[in-house]
Amino acid sequence: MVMLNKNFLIKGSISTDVVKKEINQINTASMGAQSVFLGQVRPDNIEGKVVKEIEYSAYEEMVKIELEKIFSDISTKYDDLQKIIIIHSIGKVKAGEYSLFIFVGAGHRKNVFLALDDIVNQIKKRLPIWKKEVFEDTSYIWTENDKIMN
Amino acid sequence: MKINVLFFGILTDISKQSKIELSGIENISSLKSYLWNTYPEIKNMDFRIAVNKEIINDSTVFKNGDEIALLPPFAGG
Repeated sequence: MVMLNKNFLIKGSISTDVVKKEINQINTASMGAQSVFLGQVRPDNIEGKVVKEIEYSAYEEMVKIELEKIFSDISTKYDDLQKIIIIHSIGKVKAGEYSLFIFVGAGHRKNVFLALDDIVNQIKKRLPIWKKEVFEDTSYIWTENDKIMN
Repeated sequence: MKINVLFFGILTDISKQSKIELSGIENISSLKSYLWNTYPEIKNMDFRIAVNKEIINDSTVFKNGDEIALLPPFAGG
């Protein structure tokens, strides 16, 4: 069973320093395959207006419970996994900055790729997190994963 | 009997607050009646309901002190 990491929600964007620090703390000695996923805020153009930043909010206590279920499901479904880290932003993240970091490490590559894709899908489907896309003129829209599942 | 009701996402734009305490609301049906009367716009919104952080179905009966969360479609990742 791969245990849930601490600090899975951090305020603001996820810096490359945070990514580096997280990876440096992992004992990778027996991990023949390691993959990192970074989700970045896009400056989408929606009906002529450009997204300046995304403001994330979360039901934090339920995020923890759902993340524990995701860790349990993924560990059961894919053998060979040794380490998973998930960090998601809350609060404001500007276009071009990272809002999601995932690390998956295993003995071999096959289940690293399968688990990583599954984890991203489960995060979008199961975590009680919401986002407001804020435009340059400060107007905003709420978006949903069901409509933009990609 | 008291329950706490939490609003999230777009629902906070309608309720103008993130949390309210209600008395005498015993089930989903009476909660929805209260919400439709107080915040008519919520009637047209898509959301699920969690009781004490577990998503539940329409037949659930509330207990004193329950935390009821109104969850619009998720948008994490």
